[in-house]
Amino acid sequence: MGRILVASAAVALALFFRHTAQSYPSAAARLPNLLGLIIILLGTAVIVAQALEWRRQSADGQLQLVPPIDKTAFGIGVLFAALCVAYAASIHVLGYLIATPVFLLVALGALRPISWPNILLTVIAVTGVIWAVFINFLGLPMPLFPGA
Amino acid sequence: MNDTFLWIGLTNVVQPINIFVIVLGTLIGMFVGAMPGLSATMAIALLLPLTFQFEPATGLALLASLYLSAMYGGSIAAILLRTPGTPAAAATVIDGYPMAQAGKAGKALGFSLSASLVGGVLSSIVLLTVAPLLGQLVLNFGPVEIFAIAVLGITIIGSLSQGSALLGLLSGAIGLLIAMIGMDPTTGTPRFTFGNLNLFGGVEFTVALIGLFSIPQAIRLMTRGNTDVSGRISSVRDRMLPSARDFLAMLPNSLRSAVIGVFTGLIPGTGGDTASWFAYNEAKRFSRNKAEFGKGYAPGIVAPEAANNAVVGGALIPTISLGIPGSSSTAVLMGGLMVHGILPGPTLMTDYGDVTYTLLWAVLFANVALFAVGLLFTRACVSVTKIPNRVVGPVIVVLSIIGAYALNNSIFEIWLMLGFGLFGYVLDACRIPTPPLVIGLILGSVLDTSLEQSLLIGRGDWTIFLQSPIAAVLLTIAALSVLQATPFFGWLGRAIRRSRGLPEMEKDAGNT
Repeated sequence: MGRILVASAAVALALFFRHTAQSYPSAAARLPNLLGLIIILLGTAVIVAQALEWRRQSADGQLQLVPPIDKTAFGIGVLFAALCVAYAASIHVLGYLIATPVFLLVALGALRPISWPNILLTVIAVTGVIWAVFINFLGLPMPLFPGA
Repeated sequence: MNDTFLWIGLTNVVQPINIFVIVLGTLIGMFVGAMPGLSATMAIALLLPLTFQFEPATGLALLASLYLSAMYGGSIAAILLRTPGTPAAAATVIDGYPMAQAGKAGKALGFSLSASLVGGVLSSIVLLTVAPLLGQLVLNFGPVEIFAIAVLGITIIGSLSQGSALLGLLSGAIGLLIAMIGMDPTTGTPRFTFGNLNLFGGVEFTVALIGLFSIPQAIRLMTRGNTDVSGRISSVRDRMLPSARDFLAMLPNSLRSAVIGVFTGLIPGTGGDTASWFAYNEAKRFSRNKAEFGKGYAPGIVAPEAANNAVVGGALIPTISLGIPGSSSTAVLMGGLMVHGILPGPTLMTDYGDVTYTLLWAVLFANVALFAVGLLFTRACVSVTKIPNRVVGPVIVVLSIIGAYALNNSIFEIWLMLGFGLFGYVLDACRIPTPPLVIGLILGSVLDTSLEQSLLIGRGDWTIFLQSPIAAVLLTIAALSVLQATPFFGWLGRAIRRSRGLPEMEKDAGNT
């Protein structure tokens, strides 16, 4: 099912790009139009191939439209992805020295792959080393604190 | 001219800073490779922003050393944990782990390290000799031939990708389409930018790389949890360095496997995993003791390890001489060139000859450095393999976000990186290969520029691509590689068999 969704999204994107390219000069629109057409053809072929595969599976009595999902792993993945997004959104607001330890503490503390003392050591070490290399040594202008 | 560059490259590479980064790169690569779940490609992508501070040659030397030493690092986890650190080390598990179980972990790692040295040095020599020759040949190519090479590159990589060729081609085409975002090189028209100034310069390739290779890996590490370490070999007590007699005994196998690795690396879309299985099978076929394979037999470690390290030199030949990366790792290395404003293509060997030749020498030096670093630090890698996956995942995310920001000091690029990361995770979950997408992102601008230049030369006539014999041959091969992804050849074969009155293969197979 996932492949059909990705292929359909790719076809929709190609159609949108082709539509947008209509207002460009012909030289600027040439390759995007060509690529859009190729994606439409390939995307359609992927959908047809998946449909044929389903038909074969159905004939064998093994049709499975959506494979079984490990709900725990799926939940961890979604929450971790959301945490990453929250970290990205907060780093410029809270600053590196607050957002990063909080992100690491939440991620490590929630699943506790190591003991609490080791979690604290890891948080300090990772935040410190990345600060030393990127911000101190390379001079990255990343805000360190809120409003900095 | 080439001899001059060869000399300049050698003098560059022996600079103390370059020797230092080569050793540093091999050390990092070995540690990264030893951790199951981390790939060399991801490590190179994460280190790309760091190389900004270095001279291009120094930065590339760091990345190339990391790339090849991760191949050996992968064997450490394969031998000690029965879990390959990288896909290229999968074949090493078969004989490496049983040998380690028999109390000879050091010997197994020593064979792996020595084979990596032989494979790596041989492929570096091939790289140093073949790449310049091919580079000279390519200098005669015009936009028509460059366009054909780019088309061939993307179609072969798409067709040979793991899984369905159709999905590989779709992934490559999506990469090419994303590469169309930004200013059109011919007319200067902003394309698909939707008024967003951040997109006028196009999608930052390095940002996409960091996202595509790091975020999916971090999420996978979190969801999978810790590696099964029930059978872990937790210490290496015996001697690693093989005796001269053992070394000589393994040499023919190493050399044969290295040749396999170089040739496999040359083919875009194939990599260390293909080469190591291929070499393992050949070693078994040539061996007089076939029954010993799988029971901790040294040639079963030597063959895949020599081959996967030899792939590095082979894969760099088309990358450097043609500007067509053959794998995701070489694509990221090429990203290292691009962040320094060096555009991939035929001019790499001339306009940027000093940088390119330094890179070629660095690959050779890194193989020697890997041998020394491996002997000294392999035992330390044992402790790295004990770090839980769920500790590594969040650290990768922090590095990715800081790395994406470091490229242009832009918050927009953090979001772009995360977007690519989540997209990469969806592609992985649907088993759609991401390497063709990355290659498409790189080749998009080459394809765009060469297409427009060719059509200007041909005054808008598309048959210009058939007037050049080289381009015509390359495009024909590209068309065939696309057709083999379709049922076309199957239909053709059945039609021929029917016209000759022969029974169909499937029916035969079904009757037997």
